[in-house]
Amino acid sequence: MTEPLLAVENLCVDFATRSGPVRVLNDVSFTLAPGETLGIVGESGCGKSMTSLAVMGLVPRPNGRIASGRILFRGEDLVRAPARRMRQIRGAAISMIFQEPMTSLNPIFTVGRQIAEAIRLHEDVSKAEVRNRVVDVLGRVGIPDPARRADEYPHQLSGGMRQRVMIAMALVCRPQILIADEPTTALDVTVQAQILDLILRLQQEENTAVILISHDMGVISQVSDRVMVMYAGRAIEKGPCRDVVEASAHPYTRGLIACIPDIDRTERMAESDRLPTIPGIVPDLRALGETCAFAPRCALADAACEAWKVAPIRLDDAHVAACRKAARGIVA
Amino acid sequence: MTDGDAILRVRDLTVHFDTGTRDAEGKPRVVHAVDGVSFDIRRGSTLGIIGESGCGKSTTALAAMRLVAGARGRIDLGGVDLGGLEGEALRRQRHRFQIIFQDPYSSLNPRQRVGSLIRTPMALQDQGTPETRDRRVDELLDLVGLRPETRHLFPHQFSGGQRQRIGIARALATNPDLIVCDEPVSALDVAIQAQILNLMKDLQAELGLTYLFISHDMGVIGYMCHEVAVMYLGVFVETGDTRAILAAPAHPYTRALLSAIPRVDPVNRSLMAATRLSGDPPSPVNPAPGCRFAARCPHAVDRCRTERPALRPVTLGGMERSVACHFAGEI
Amino acid sequence: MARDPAFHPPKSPFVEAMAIFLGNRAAMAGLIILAVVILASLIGPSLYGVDPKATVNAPFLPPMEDVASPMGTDYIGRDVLAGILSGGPATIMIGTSAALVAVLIGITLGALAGYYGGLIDTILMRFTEFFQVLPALLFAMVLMTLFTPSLRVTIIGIGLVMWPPTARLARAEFMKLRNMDYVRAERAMGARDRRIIWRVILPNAMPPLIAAAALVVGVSILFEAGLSFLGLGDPNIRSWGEMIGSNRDYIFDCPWAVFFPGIAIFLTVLGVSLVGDGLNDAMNPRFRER
Repeated sequence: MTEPLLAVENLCVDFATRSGPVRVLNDVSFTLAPGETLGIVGESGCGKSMTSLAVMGLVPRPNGRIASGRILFRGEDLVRAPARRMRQIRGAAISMIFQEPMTSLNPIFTVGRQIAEAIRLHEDVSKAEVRNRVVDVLGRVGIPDPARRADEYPHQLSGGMRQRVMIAMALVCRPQILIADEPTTALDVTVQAQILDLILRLQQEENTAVILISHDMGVISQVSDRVMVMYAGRAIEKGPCRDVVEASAHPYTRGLIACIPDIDRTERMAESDRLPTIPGIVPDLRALGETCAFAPRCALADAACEAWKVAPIRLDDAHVAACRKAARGIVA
Repeated sequence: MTDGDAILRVRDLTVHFDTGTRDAEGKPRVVHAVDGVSFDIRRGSTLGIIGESGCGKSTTALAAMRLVAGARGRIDLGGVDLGGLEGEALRRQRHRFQIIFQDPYSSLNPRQRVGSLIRTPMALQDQGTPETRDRRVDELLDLVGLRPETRHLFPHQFSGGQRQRIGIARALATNPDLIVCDEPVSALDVAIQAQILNLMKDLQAELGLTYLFISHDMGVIGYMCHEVAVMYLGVFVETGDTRAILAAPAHPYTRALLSAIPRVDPVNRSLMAATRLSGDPPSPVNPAPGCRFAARCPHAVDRCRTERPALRPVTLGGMERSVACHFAGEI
Repeated sequence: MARDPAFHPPKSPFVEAMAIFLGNRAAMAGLIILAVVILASLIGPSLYGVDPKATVNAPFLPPMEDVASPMGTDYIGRDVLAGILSGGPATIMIGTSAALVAVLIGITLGALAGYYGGLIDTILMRFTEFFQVLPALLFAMVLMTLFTPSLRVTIIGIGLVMWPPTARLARAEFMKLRNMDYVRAERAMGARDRRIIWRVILPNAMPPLIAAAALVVGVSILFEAGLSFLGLGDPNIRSWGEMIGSNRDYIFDCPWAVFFPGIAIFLTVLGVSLVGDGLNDAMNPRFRER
């Protein structure tokens, strides 16, 4: 394996609330190699978006703070990097696409001007050169007639086109890491397929590493090289996409996949069959300790699980799961 | 989809909104949100309407509920034409058709306690006495998997899934003949979504409910619906038995929609190889003549751009369904 | 079926709002100021026992010169402190009543315009704009001169010039809330318009309206002071504004006779505004924990 481009080590993020601090990210570690796609999947509030914000140095202030851990970008610890250095990195070496293409673009400027702004923040280039690059990048993200579109305002574009503009803006400085936080959630499925295809094609052209965050196991399984599953602020399973999806070691991962009404599977179901479910609801983060947060909802949990201090269990070189029973092969 | 056993018969449902503006030729710009839609739902079954945002599926649901102004067409619910009723006469029928909304946060009045929320439809429709209503509230809470004590709480004290259970209990309160479900699980996480879908199916089996189920998610439709109507820009392009359509979609749009679904399958990455549609759906303002899908259809010929195809019966794989395509069964 | 184990004790939105309000320092300061003003107005006159309308001392007596008149006297020897203590109830009464008139008119017209929209909205809003473009003070002056100045005329006059902003706010709230799913749900359940407007939307629209009403009280007090200053108030009622107005010509000879009522008005309006802002924060769901 090549030297990791990004290595997140034991990252913990705390959030101050009225009822005291809450640990929203707990001991999260992962690596990302150049050209690789890491999928982060989980339900709302599991910490997947907070992970990306932490990497971008955008943990919301003043309530949020990185309590411990390191974020190593090519060996440089971003947790300790000064604000000026983070501004250099953000949008240039590491850039991000957000979920909502409606609100992520400023409605009062043309899209061309907003992309130009992204270039000028990081590079000292002539006006003509900036214009050339804007038109070029709009063409690369599949916007027809890019020279004309560059002079249009966000409201003149459809949702899919706006998301293409966001991608153009993220890619214009040729980042080494692209973080896509639910990039297709606000889009229709036929447009989603176009956008995912675009992200992967550009990734191959530039050898960009991608962190794709999604609640949709289908999307994750279709595009990721490796997958990290999160639950209640922890990474509970990670490994190669195929292992995590087809040979899930953590009961939560299996539950998450099983409860999706997949058309290939429901076709074979009888009228009286029901979807498998995970009973209960996601726990209150304030009430969690060092034990398994999933145990109260887990069908396999026993008394020993309730007392077990959560630790990653290594199944092979690449596949890790934070389940006590994963180690003994009770789960499989 | 005509059936002697149908509880709901909708004919030529049309909703046009005048934007109040005019196009270059001086013609008024009219949004054809729903353009002549007809369907039947058998008692105790579920009809799904699937489509992408802006296709008119939610407007169809709200029009069937008589909640949009300016809707035209026949809405025959068990022999009463709701489309022809107004004011007090319509109000008196409302106990027979109820709705579950998409957003569990905005669909419950934040200032009403749960008990009062569920009691309201019964009180408004003069069903029962105050005592029987209270008993019914407890019964309904139990039915949707909430403890009767929770009737004293306010909506914001519940999670999204629990709020949706409250919404379901409220829709059930008056024992309606028809429940319209407008994207009832789209705002929920998958694990909670599965719980709610199972609950809705259990309730249907137990109480013989009839659902009109709106969704953008083919997986959810496939699980919930006996029959499905695929909607594109205000019209149905394909209707019929859900399994038959999922197994062998006949309309090019249905095919594109199905191939665009990201399956949970890390080996066979069909999404990237799929026959993909280019572009976004065109605007429903003053749609062109011809087939609504012609602009994005890989098979479109001149005829498609001039002549609008009607829904017609097509037999595919031994199952009959209706398809609005000139070349259904041939391409 | 899954059952959630969490069961919190019932807590109404009102109780929650109160907790936030009580934790707001500025609002509590405002509440204390108001409490002092009201208490002084209620028991002050009987404790102090000086007739505010009678000449009790030498005119133009500066404050602290004579212990009998700690705030001095005005141009005809009336006691300033007695005037302040007895002017409180009149001032506050005029302010709140005028605000009540303004808010009732504003909410009714705004609710109907916002809920029904269309032609009703257009007509009501043109009507509102007509009132809004009238110079408020001039309009009130015309009303006061047309009728014999009395308490009732003052209140109605101020109420009539104060309602348009409330109507606009109520209209905006109703337009926003009428499209909420829970309002649609009420229609689907067969609720009549009257119920939806007054029992469903209005309670949800109240928080910003209550906060705005508190500010209207403050502005009404100022307005009354302005009218009295111009000599258009009821001369038989000694409000703070009237005190300032009647001493207007002697402002350089006995500034204290104007200064102290001015301070009283300032403190009262400040208190009302702080409480209004506090109510706005407390009842705004954005500040609440989910």
